[in-house]
Amino acid sequence: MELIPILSTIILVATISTFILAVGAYILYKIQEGEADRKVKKGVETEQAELVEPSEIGGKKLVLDKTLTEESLAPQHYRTVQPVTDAYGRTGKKTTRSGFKRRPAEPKFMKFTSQGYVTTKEDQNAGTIRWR
Amino acid sequence: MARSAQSYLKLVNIIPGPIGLFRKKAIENIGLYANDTYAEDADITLRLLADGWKIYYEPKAISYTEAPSTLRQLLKQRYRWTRGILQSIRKHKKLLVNPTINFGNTFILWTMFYEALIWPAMNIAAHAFFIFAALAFGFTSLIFFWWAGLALLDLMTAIYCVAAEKEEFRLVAYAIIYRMVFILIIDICKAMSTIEEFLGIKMHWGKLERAG
Repeated sequence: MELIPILSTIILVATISTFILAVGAYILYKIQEGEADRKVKKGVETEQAELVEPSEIGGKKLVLDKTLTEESLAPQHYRTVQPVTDAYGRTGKKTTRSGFKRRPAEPKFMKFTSQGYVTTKEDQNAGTIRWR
Repeated sequence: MARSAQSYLKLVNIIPGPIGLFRKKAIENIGLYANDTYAEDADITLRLLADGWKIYYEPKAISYTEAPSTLRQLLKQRYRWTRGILQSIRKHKKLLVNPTINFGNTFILWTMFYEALIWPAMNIAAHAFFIFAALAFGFTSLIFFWWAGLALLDLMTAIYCVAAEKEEFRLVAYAIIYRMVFILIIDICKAMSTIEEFLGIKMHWGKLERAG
């Protein structure tokens, strides 16, 4: 048997098969892509929003007792007050600290008496001139 | 090999996405990757060339990237490349039709246009004619030798490329598979993508399936 007819048949069959395979693969690819698109779109339209509930810690269920608002989410120790105008005529928002209790300043001067260290105000004998 | 030839003219037409080195000043002049085409690397290269920059190919540069492992992934990649390149050509169409602005850019745009549109159309037409002639008039030895001549040309090119790039010689055998299967699949995909691009069918990036 001659070699050329065999090779020719192989080449022809391979070329036709590749042609069909290429067109078929492309059509299949487009169908699959289209299906994937539809799935994504459908998923977006029908998917319910997830309801997140507080988890239980130590048997106790944590319940959120008030609605979160912008104010409640703001830092607790700060509050914004109305715009103020300073001595130079500049206006702006002034933020003050409201949550903290200012600790009374420690007295600078103490006096050692027979009752121990006392402030100058507490000293009962303050102001009286005593001659030693 | 194509990039080496383009580099000789200092006109590499695509700085590949996985690896590319830019001068800071060039990027400052032309801007970063644009998102109005699906081949952002082709677009930035064309913008660089339009700005008068020279682009070279560095054969010693090494980059590790992931290649498509299935036929579907391959079609997806080539579909995006073809449409992206056509979008980039359309974006720079002024340079395509007017060689007086920048001749090098016009030349490179026409080579891209040829590669994306004319070459696949010619290849598909030749294969279709080959099948038609073989079925209608019988598979004569003349048609066989015509096919064998083309395959021989592919083999010789493969031998030259392998020798020039110092690759393994066993790769030469793949030239036959390339001729019989690979290039026809790619060209049909390119032709279909081109039709879709001209029809203005919507496309998207899709999800890249990573194996590595």
